[in-house]
Amino acid sequence: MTAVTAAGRVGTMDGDVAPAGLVDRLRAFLAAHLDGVQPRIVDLGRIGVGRSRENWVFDLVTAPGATPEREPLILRRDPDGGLVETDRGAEFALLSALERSDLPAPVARWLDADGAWLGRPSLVMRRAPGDCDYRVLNGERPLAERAVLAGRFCDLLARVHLTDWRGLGIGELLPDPGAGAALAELRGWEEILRRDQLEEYPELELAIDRLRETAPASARTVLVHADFKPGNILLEGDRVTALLDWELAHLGDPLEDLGWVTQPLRAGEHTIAGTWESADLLRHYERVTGFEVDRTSLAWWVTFSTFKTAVMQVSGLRSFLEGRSDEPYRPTRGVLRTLLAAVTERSG
Amino acid sequence: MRPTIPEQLDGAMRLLDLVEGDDGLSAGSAELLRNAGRLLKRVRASWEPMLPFLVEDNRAMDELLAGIAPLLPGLAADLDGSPPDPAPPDPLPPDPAAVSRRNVELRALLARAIRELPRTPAGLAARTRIGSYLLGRIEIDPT
Repeated sequence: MTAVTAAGRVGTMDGDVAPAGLVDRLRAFLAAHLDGVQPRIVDLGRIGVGRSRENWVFDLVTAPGATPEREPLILRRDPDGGLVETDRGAEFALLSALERSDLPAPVARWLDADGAWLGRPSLVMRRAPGDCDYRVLNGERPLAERAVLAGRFCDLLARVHLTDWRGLGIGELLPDPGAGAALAELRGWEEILRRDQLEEYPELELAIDRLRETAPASARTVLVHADFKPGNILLEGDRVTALLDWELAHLGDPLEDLGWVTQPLRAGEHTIAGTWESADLLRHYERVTGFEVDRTSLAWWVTFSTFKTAVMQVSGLRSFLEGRSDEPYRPTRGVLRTLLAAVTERSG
Repeated sequence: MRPTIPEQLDGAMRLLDLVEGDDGLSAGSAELLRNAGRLLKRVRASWEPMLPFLVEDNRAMDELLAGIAPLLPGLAADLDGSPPDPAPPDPLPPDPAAVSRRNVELRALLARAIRELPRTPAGLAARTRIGSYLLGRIEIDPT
């Protein structure tokens, strides 16, 4: 429950404090979208402290008739600084388009694109039941149950890639890079690096050099989630209730998501040693989608995934040093070592 | 002089550890405290080995850049032209800030070299040498 403190800020369920005025701003924002119905905000609480976006869960209570209606919602508010800067308007439009698909994407309710209402660009979505556990495949559940979940996650990724993006009008929202998806993504992340780097990184320069020289042509264009991981999958028991975090989604090569989920740095999230290795995941994916995965092209995307991680760390470092973020990110030894090992191998 | 810098860092980390055990902390405050502790631990671990590492790294980069300079006339002009000096005559310890600044400059030159190297067999061989150097650097970088 919320409670106003002496400082006029609002205490929340887990003891964290809502920024001054957020509740009032949120109430005004919601009222503007409810045709004069006065909203009540109940059980406001922040989840996922200190990460890229502020996530505030709450229930919206309205009483247009005799019986109050209660809707569970989540407010996702841009931080002052995060790992990646993305466009809330584009995300809102994509989520709205996906409501016509069978994907378990969150229902987007309202958008504050420029932060005029809520101080920073924000998105209000309906809250689905369940929990995210980024280590669920290597957690406490019995092995057989985890193996079933791993297959279910792969099925979900396949469903994303099999989405009829043209039929849903997503081609009008997002550009189709065609066969040049790899180079387009590399260019995009290089631009982020140039914008955010505070000094030169010869390690990343060598990676760009090699990736540019060896970029594969894309065999097909699909909807790419671009941050597919158990930590973004809501589970209620063993049922997937939602796939979250569509902020990086775009049209591109399906191997991009496959490279992300099979990269060695994330093996602990996506694979189960001895039971569900990367090779099992790829075979399952090929069987479900009917797409053949070119292993040489996939190796490029795996390396690209590590490069992307390094760039995110560079951006995170800048955010931290400029006081926009509380997470002391930096390009880590593990990421740089993995990246350089891959690019020097590719050049050999 | 006591307390030494490492002693002060150890002391700060000990105090943070004491606060971290406080059950009354909110989740947000606990995370901020952990982040501050991580930063101090890094500084503590790298404080003493940093200067010798940078001195040796500057020497290695000087040598590497001198080796590939013939492939890059523009870059060669920007190098100071003096061969690396393995045994500076000055017995005074090096200035840490100057050594660090030079490291940043040399890394910038190396990044530029990678961007400008020709796609010739010699250019590819230079990239291989740079890759080996960078891999080795990661293993000994104390930061």
